[in-house]
Amino acid sequence: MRERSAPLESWYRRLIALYPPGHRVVYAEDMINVLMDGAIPDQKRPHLMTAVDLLKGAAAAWVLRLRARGRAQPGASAAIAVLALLMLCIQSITAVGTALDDATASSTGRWGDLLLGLPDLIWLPVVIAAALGLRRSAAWPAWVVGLFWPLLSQLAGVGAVVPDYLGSLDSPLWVAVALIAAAGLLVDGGTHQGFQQLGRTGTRAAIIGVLMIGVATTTVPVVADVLEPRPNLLGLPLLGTGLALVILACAGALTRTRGSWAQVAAVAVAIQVLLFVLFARQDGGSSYSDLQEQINTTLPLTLLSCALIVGWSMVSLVHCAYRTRSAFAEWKPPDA
Amino acid sequence: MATGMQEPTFLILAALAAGPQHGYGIMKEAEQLSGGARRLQPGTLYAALERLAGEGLVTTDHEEVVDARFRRYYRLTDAGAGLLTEETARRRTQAQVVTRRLRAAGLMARAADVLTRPSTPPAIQGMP
Repeated sequence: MRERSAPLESWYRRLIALYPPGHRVVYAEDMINVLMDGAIPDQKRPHLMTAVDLLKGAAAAWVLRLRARGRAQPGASAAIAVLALLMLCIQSITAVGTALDDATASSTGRWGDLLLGLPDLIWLPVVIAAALGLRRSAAWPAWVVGLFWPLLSQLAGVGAVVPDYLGSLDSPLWVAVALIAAAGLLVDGGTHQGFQQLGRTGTRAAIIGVLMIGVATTTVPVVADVLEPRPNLLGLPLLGTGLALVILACAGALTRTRGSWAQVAAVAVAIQVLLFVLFARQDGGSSYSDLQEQINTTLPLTLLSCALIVGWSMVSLVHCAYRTRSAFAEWKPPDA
Repeated sequence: MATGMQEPTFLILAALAAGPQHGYGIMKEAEQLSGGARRLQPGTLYAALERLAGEGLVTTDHEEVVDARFRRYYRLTDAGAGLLTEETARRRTQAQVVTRRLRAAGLMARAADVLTRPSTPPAIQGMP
């Protein structure tokens, strides 16, 4: 029997640790043996191709569980995707409206502004495909756009740090929403099941929440003129309450519990505090224009807030998923 | 269901057609079946095995310890064998249709000629 390389084995074990627990229990030892059988003498580290393949395998194993969970509770996953897509729809319409308004209002006809709205426009076919039931087809473009949205925004805004209606307070939020929508679309379940899972109260709360977010984040002049000078009085509470309604509707769909008004208020206040801490200026000025300027000049803060909100959203989603009755990570094939 | 079976899935099922195999054996068998063109990596193999087990196409046959190493053998289920048969028939039909079209267009003989023609060995520097 050939002597095993301990460093190589520990490298493989570290990579296999990325697999879901259910997969590791059944296949880990077998995989280690196969990997070690395929190693060349004195090999200390995995080949790049093997490492990439193991990472791909880990992703596939997690997706398999996500889909299995979707089959067990298709409505809950569909509900999340429905909500996220509603929010993206509002964002797309707002962005296109702003771009059209800018282009037509300008004496020079800044039709180039329409190009800046293209990353948002990409969401419209995704939303339509999902609404028509083509969830799988919509999922992959959603992942691509969700992951590369910030990059697309940068590319679309040639010469600009962040386009004005993409890169303000809402940018990290929308990236998080995009990723949640993409994850939700990967699991099985139909749009009508999503609304069923939300229930009548949940659907109402979700629609009101989405509309509040849409109004709070819009830059369409008629609305923005009212909100912009008073962000702490109108904008942030509107945004926080809208988000709270949507989050509690999502949580209710996943855990089959219904949020109370006290919970809505608590989550709304928490979100407002979070946003205020993240974006408030040291000197106390905090109009949206100031925030925009600050974000443009303090990119690390933007990235940090983006990471925080995306991470927080994902942790919340995973936490909710773990609370459901169906086994998520512990799912095993029938014969295992 | 047989429509659109991916190559690694087909190779794994085909590798198990002759009888139970352990992971490394499946990889070797798949490489041989593909004429050396396709080498399955363990990540791909075990992700596919888990999915196929979940779909009831593959199951664990037995486990053993050889030279202090754990080995699990996998085999096709009846459903797996049925699906492999369907997929094989589908591929055979497709191949027959393409062959007929090539013959009708008179391209088959030319293609065979190109394939059987001995290739010119590369010139080596310093050799006449």
